[in-house]
Amino acid sequence: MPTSRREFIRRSAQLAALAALGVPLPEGASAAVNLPDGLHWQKAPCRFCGTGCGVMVGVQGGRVVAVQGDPDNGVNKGLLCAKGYHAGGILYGKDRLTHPLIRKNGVYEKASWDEAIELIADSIMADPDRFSIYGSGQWTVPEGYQNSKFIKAGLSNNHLEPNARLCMASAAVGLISTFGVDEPSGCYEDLDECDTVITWGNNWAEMHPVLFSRFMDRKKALPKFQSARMTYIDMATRKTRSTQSADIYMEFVPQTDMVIANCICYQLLKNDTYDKDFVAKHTRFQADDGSEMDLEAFRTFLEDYTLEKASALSGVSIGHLKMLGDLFGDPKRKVVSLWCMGLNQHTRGTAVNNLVYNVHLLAGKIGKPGSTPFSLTGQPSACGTAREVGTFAHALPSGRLVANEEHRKECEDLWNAVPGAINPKPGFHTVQMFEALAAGELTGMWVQVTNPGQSMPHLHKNLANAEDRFLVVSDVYPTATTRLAKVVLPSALWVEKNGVFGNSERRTQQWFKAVDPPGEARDDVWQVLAVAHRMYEKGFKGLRDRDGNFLLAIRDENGQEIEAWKWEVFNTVNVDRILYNEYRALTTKKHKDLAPYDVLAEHHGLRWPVVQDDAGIWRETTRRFVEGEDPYVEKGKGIQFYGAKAGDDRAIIWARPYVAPPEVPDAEYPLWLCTGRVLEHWHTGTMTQRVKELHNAMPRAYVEFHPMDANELGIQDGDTIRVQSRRGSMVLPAWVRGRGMPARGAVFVPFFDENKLINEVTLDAFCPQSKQPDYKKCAVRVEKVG
Amino acid sequence: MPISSLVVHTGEEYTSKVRDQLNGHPVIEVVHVSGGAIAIVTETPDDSVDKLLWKQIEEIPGVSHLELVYHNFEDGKEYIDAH
Repeated sequence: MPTSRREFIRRSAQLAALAALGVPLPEGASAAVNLPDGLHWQKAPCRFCGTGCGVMVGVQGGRVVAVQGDPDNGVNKGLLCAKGYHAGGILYGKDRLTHPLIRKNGVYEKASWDEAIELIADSIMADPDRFSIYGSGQWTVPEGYQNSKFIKAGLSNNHLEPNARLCMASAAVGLISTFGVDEPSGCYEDLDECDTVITWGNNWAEMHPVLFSRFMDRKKALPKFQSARMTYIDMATRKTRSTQSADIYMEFVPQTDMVIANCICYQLLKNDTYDKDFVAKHTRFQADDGSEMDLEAFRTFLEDYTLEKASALSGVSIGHLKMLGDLFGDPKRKVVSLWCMGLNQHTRGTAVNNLVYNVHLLAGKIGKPGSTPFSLTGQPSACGTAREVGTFAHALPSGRLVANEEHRKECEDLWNAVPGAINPKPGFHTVQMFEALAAGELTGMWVQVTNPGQSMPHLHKNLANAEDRFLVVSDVYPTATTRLAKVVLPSALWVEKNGVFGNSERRTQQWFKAVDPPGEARDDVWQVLAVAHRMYEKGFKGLRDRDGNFLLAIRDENGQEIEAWKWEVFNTVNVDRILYNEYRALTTKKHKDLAPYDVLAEHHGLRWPVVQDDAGIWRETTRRFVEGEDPYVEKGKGIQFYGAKAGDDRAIIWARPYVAPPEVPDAEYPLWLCTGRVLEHWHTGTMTQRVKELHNAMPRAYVEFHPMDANELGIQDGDTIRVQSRRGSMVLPAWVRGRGMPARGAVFVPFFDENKLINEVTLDAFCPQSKQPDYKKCAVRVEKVG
Repeated sequence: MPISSLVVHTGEEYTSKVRDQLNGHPVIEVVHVSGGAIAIVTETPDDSVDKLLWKQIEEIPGVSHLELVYHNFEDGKEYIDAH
């Protein structure tokens, strides 16, 4: 038996590793043992990326001192990626924001919470129609829900957007336009069942490493004769760490992913290898303009995507294109398609999402274990909050729309808001919102849990004049955005507050506060509540409900209002539980049933729809639309796409033509620029840059070249390079034989470095349906400047 | 003195050689080997040594990647102002 404390910790580490490998532990043994001198463990989802790994957080003396992968969480089964190593560390950066700041005469001065709240309340009340909130896929569910109520019923202007517009909007609109409802039908277990994974412009080895391992470990564990059938195909415009593990790499000309998908469909029809029964029972066809078409018309549409034509456009060999066609045409193959920003940050993002669904629908490779198209998310609650709560300018909670009278009424009734409080006109979408802020059409904005001063495309246009507007920023560290703010509010981070996130596979995960935030930092939910209540006290009519009471009132189970706008009271109540359960009432009418808060608290994540069975047990749904798995599928239907807007239970196969990108390389700007993330840093690096090891491992951004391009241009590692587009320029060190390798004629720059704002260079053209900008392709030239 | 446990993934044909190399390292304890996965526990003077150690392990021929399982850093961590 271990005797000392260190031996005990060491033993815990051993047990955790054994559990992660599936080795049976001695009875009663567990890595997450509470120690008598104070170390105790509690669950939380990791707050990096959308995979949604479960983390056990070890707390001692009011500090997080240990983390381990949660072995009881079905997402990661005890394993974490490199960022998980620092999940606790992000709380303890030296420059955490610890008190409110107000900019006065160009200088930030410490302020009290009362002063900051008064100023914000007065400023919103001075111009409520032109005030906006810009948040995040890192908002917890209750944070997003309360903001929705505040903006939509309180200010009645709908100017609410999440940064998920920049990363997931095309995925959401793609799903809604194909299936009538948002969010993937598949699940991570499909990676345990498939024999083929195709990534469409997705570097999952670095961005979703736990899922990558899930497939690769399976592949490696099989005997050779079996593993040879397991295939990983990486389709991309840049070689990455994922490529190193791929069986086949297909490099395509940017934007021609649309061509490849259409070519696969062409082959399925031409070779008569499509799933006729599935297509006849479960799909119908529509032209790009939304008009109905039949199979024959669709076949004619695909004549533009023969092997020869597709190869010429995409740069992918005929042999590889044929292999893809054969693979999808093989009824025995179980194929998972994965994608993330590569398809979503795309000026035809919605269309290319539709096209991947087309391929899977025609091949009948959906709704079967091991076969699914699966759109991955980049943020921990891009699904759970931004998409499900509906924190977009056109949306209301749980799939409702501001433009729909019945939906508005449902929300107004639940919120006891004055009839007509919700404006039927959608607010500004993200790019419009920042353009409006720059132009003065919006006079104020409250930014929460995100950093648009670094992440918006075409920065100097979209952030112009932001410093002159009434900009409030709630964050945990100084950022490129806090430096533009009039008011900076210090926020609680991750396990410094209660929270609920929803991951890529419809899994909702709850956690309890584990430690106090530093200094005067406070929960974002409280911040909004306090400002809204101050406005109510000052007589702002929008924040009165039908009975004249506070619209955002937090009420106990007896309906008694709790004075949660007072911090000392907020801290004694689980406001998250109240807000979440209120929101949950809206989810049960749209086939998105979430589990009650207390049930979530007992589980390590549950995938919706979650319904109670006859025995009273709450059951999650692994695969949507599948009889026996999804409670909403009628008996005998097998597969039922019950979200179909036409009410015919059919998914739509869209005839989406290839459309060239709005900007392509030319004589003046001869190279493609692609931007993206790196393993070490979370998005704009505001948290991960504070972790010494991560900062040291990847201290600054760079411009990555193909070695042959570098040779022709006379560029070597470390040379100083100006990357210039029609919009702006950025000077960066060159990296020629780095971690990735762009295609010939292309360069890559990561966007995590706030001292190298590559979004000064990027284009803000966006998908016409989803309004999501394309960060993956614009035209640049480079010159050596040192 | 951080204590961590990790799973080292290898091609199966390399597992025994990788295990032997790991076993020879003074701060690494091999806990279990299962297929191409080797569970290890490390105890290092500070986090920067961890990072270096991870890099060394990743560079052992036959290692495909590492996954973290457990990380205790209660002796304190030094974080930086990034900018």
